[in-house]
Amino acid sequence: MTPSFEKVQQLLKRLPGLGYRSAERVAMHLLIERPQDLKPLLEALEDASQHLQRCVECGNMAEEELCHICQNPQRDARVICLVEHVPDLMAIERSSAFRGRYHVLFGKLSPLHQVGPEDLNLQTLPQRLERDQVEEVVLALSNDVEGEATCHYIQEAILDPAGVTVTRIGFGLPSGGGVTMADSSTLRSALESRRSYQ
Amino acid sequence: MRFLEVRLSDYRNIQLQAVAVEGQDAFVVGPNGQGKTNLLEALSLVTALRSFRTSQNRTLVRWSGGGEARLFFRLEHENLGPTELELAFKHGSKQVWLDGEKVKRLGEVLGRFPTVPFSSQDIQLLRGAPQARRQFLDLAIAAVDATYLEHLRRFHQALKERNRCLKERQAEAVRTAFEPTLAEHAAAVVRLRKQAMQQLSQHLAEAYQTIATEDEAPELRYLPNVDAEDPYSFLQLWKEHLERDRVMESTQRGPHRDDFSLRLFDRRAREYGSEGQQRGLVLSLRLAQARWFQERTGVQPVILADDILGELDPKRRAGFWQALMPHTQVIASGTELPRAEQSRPWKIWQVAGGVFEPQIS
Ligand SMILES: [Zn+2]
Repeated sequence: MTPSFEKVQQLLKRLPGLGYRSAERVAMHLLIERPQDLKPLLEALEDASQHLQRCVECGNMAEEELCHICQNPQRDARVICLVEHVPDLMAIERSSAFRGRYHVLFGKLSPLHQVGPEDLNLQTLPQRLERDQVEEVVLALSNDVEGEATCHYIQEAILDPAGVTVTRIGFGLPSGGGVTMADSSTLRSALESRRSYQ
Repeated sequence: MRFLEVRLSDYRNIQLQAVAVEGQDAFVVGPNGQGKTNLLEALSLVTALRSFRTSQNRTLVRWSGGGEARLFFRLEHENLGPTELELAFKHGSKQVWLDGEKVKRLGEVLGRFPTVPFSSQDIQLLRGAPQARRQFLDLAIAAVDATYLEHLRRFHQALKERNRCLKERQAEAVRTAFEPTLAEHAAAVVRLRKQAMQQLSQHLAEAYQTIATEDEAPELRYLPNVDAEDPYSFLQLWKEHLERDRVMESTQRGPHRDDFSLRLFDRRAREYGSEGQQRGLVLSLRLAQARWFQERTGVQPVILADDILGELDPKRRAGFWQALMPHTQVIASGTELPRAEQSRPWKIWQVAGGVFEPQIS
């Protein structure tokens, strides 16, 4: 162990999903065992960090102002699917069961975890509803306590005043699970069996 | 269900022990503080994956051991056949393996391996604080109904969120966003508790009759803090009590304040019952729990009688054996084998300093 190795390992350990051992393995791999992999990785990271951004419309990852979904005129702008995180959006895309557009919240309401409405990506939602004459909003948030509360909050504060139809995807999903936990066919049937929310 | 063998390592005062009861009734004999209760507690862990004595995993781990308590059980089960169950407890974590395969969702195992513990501490179910009674009720219902546990978990999670809103004086809209979910699960918890209490009360009356000399009209009475089974009533109530909740910075009304009472002759046994009546009632409550479990799941619980057989008078001891379903496995402990129990076909273990030795007869 050297000071510079240790520093790299410490930084890697802060990444989600990496513990002490896996941080050590990644650092060892990139710096000692296969240093030829390091340069392409650094370049890719540098490049991505310069080009990637949140889509200004929906929050999805994008390389321009708008993501590929918001740019696609084939996607129905009058139906919006609300998800917690970008991987949820990607899971629904893989199921190919949804032809509308998305809105990513980047979290869910939880006073216990110090997440309030101002921490969620809600500011642009009312404009979208009005401008695109949105008819239906599909709530695809996880079905745990915080996911349900977020649905209630958004419905009361934004969706009901805007007069749109609100549906909740049919959660035969594992209890407490999120969208990313379900496979494509489960998601497809969950979307097809979505029901009106209250 | 029957225990065939248990192996324990670094568990409480036990370094490494194997006890092969082979599905028979077993009696563990030895002075106090040697490990009798620890063994019975270990057997009880298969049911709720938590101890009836402590909520802290680390007290389960042997002080001078490797930091992890391991428990291995060989069982005969009505639905699963021969089964191997392994538990590992560390500070802050527990893991479970069923037939060698790691169990990802602990809820899958909860309640599938029923045991009913009898101990002299059970008197606290009658004399102690409501929290002990709620815990009894929650463990008993969760063991027969996995959906109850899910409702209870979500109720408590939503309750914590609402209480945080009250404490931090969050915007009205944030607090009320949690209330429909809170109300839904509160109503479900009360509904399932009410149902369970009715069934348990019947079994309690039957069990008590076998140990009492006359009809004393034994009853288990549910005392819900809010007597409502529909979410709307809870929402209304919280609206009415909002000012008080704000002052107290927490939700004052709801199933987290529920209680139940044990009664004889339509009076609370806690105030009016004799010592003997009180002991008879808590004994009957445990017997009721065992019979209810058998009725609901078709699986026969193992009875874990920790140092109680010696305390029972002849009438109640006879009632105890009579009230058990035939072929129930009983694992009991005592400082000595009670005279009346000497003729039963027990397997007997002597325990000293966390070491269990089979007694060769
Ligand atoms: Zn977009």
